[in-house]
Amino acid sequence: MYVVALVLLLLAAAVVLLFAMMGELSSRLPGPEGAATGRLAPVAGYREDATSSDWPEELASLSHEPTTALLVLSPICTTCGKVAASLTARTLDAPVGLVISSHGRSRGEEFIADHTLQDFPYFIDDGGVWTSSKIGINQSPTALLFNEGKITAAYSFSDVSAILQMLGHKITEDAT
Amino acid sequence: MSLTGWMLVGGDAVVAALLVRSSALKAVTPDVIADALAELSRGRWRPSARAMRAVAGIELTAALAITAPSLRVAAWVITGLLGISFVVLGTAGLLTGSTRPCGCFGAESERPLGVPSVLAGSAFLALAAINIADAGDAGMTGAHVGVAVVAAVIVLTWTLAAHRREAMAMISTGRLAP
Repeated sequence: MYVVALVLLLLAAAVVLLFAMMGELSSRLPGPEGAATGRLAPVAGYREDATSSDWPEELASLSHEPTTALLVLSPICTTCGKVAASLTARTLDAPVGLVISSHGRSRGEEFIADHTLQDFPYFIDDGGVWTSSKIGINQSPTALLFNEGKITAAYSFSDVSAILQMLGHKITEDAT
Repeated sequence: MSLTGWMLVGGDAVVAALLVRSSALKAVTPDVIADALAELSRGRWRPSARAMRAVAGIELTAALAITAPSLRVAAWVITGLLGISFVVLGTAGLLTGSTRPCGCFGAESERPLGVPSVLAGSAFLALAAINIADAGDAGMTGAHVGVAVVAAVIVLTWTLAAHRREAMAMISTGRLAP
């Protein structure tokens, strides 16, 4: 009787494993067109008065863009590493800047070098001081969307294509 | 068996179920808790995925041992130690203002280390003390089958409730697809 009960418990553990592995697998597969925004979660509590005039000098080259995304990444977060790895040449054409929130400038520079992100406008936010004081955000990865120099939204994300898709929509809307 | 005995069976089964879920999900996504621990140390230290999977192995061993009468004391010593670590990490999460999801106990929520970890760890410690003190009770020796069955029912119900959409899709399509 005990063996049957133990086998039942092991089967239950296998069911948990099965669903966990399915969830992990689906998070690694590209979704259908249009589903990318499903991987975005709005972040509340950002400073609604934040503008591009608050940006550090390193990101100034983006300030003339009508719509911009600043991606807040951290060297200690696994998802940020995956996002950094997925920042392809296609992304370079989009108005995207990077804010690397790290404890110590050298760790931030290491992150940029490890993922060869030197071609992006980037700013090393030592201790996350700038993101928390100027934007009111203290989590990563977070995408900060600016329209005409004013912050319009902040999203937690795991796939940069969702952000690019959103930027694409906004750029199209601006043009029409 | 007395009412207290049945309550203990229920408590033991809940702990075994939490440990089974925690271990299974930690084994599949070890980076979630590793990221939460890295945040606690402000990026100075981050455990490897292998280390997190080793912890998952300890949790599963403890869960299975809870249901085995001959391993009861050892199982609850390990569970008590896990309880202490949950209380310590939960307190550290509260003090440092942890924000990263910890995936604690296999929960699919975005909750960071904090109050739930402290409460669960305290419950683990309390049950460990009761079970170790009660280890010589002959009335409880036949209850291990009940603990295993109830734990399995909790795990299956929780998992299927959390993934009901995927489960229904699997049933209707007859195939495993994300």
